[in-house]
Amino acid sequence: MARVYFEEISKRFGGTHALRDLTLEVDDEEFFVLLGPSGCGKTTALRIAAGLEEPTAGAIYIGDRDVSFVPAKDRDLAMVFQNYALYPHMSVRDNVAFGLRMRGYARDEIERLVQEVTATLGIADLLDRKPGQLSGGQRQRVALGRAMVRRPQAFLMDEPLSNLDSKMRVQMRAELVRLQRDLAATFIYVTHDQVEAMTMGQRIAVLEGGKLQQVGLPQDVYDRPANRFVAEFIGSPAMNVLEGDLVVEGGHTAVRTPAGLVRVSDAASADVREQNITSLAVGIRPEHLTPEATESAAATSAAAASPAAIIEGQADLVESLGSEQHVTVVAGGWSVVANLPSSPRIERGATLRLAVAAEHVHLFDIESGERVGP
Amino acid sequence: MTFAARWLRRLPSYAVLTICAALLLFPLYVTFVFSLHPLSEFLGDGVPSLWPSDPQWGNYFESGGGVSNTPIGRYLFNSVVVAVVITAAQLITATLSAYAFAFLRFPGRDVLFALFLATMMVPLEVAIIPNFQTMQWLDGHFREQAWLSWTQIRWIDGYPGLVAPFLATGFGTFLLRQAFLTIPRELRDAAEMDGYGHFRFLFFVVVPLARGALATLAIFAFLQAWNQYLWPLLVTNDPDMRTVQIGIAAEANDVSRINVAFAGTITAFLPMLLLVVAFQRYLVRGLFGGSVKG
Repeated sequence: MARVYFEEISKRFGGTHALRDLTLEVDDEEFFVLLGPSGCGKTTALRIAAGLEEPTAGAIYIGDRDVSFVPAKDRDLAMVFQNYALYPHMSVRDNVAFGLRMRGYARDEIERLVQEVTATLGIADLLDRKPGQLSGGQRQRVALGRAMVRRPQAFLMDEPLSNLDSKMRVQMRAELVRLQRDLAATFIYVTHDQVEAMTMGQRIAVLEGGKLQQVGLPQDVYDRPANRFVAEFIGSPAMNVLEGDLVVEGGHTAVRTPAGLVRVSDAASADVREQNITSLAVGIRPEHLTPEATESAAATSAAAASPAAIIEGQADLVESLGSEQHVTVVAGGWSVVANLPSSPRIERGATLRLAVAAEHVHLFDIESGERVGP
Repeated sequence: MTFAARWLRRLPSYAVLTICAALLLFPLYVTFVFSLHPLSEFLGDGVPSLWPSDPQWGNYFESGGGVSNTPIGRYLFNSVVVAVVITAAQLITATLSAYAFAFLRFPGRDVLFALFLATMMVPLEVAIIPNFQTMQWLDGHFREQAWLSWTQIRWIDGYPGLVAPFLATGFGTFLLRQAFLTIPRELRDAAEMDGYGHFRFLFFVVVPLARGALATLAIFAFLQAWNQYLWPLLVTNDPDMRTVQIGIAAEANDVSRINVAFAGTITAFLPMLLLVVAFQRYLVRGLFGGSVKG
């Protein structure tokens, strides 16, 4: 097992930049997730690591070895593809053994390794089947087996779960995490699904437009998104973003948004003044909008004690998920989504007053999209 | 739906299919019946009977008058050699060129492929004169130049001339490229990670997956080579180098043996029939289940 290091990798396809100056270090035995929307360059980054694509500039290291000019087969990496890429005319056994045959393993050694890996994955009884006779989950396991059997330095996974149904996906998610732990292997996992990234990644890197937006622990990326793109991309339902001009009212700095005034914390307002920013985008996660506490409960609610903003509007759409309800509130002509407890049930048309605490307000420079303040 | 009702619903389509089949098979049937008539049947005033009232199997086998007594064996042998060589060569050349067009990225690929397609639009008849002149020129060189003549290669009245223009075709490349393009690119990527180079990938993955298209091309090339008429007529003068089609035509010129010519036609047709029957399952079956989702 080894670390994988991307050093200032750029990739151009004709006139389009797929990647710009990507520098990333994936630690040994780490489950690392590359997250981004389609076309962000994450798959290109993975294919460059694999050796299936050559970078236009930059270098790639596996362990301490510069493999930039090493052919794919000699990099000692294994890849799992989105559509499994099983050889349809070969049995499961031959699919798993295919790579070993090329590497000159003895016949009984191959059989032993195939048995061992397929037993681990629970597909030992399928060895003589063809991929066409397997379910999606089983095919995925065969693809994993084909990768595992070679004991590579690192596993590269290109959206391996996106073709599975949602129940299977949740199950395989847990299995992959367990597998990575058991193998103590380096995983680089590409996905556009932020739930997969949050639940599986030890660290995640968010890419957009071929550029690295943020790297960090999933919770850190969620709590302190580095810019507006990351803020809106991660989280479901997505973060509410309201734009407005900076005003000073009653000694406090605030942003005048269409949905109302949002107070800027003292720490942030220092940054705002320093950077000469006049208008800001305010980000509030749906779960941080809470119904304004009634007077009797005011004392117990931190948000109600000194809310940074109160948003008042009509419930326009109520989506009940059983455990919670997503309520779209129209305030000042803008829609804001709040994630509220399932009880009390909100009726459409009801007037809501939602409060948000100062520490849950994210501020972004409208020009650059960068985060402002702590 | 009951069995009878289902059958009734299918009746119209079966009726249409039966009529089409009858139309297609009728000339074949006439040829077969005529091949069994005695010569006298053709000499009267009326149209020869469509029923073999007096089957003469001797048209096929009798020494001194039947097909077996003409050099048909030699003609068949020539045709088999020509058709097998052309088919094998086309499979090899088309597989290699189609692989390049389907899986490799190189400058000028699309222009080159368009040129390949363009050759399909040139009818054989247009190319036949320049091809013949090329063969004549080659033949002259191989006879006159001392450093070539020892090879004994004959471009006129020889197998090289009979097969040379058909060893590679734009059609074969096009057919296989389309088949190869249906093979997911990820299979190439996976094989590359597994350490398989282009030739191994071609041999272990592409060819097995595209064997339906390869069989189609094989049958097509064989049929075309077998049924060639104009080209073998041009490049052969020696009766020993005639292919079966030319041989039969030569027989048919002899009106006194017209029934034997029909028997020869049936004889020449049989190998084709066997080939198509043997390979038809490849023509029908789809082979891409389970490679990728969907």
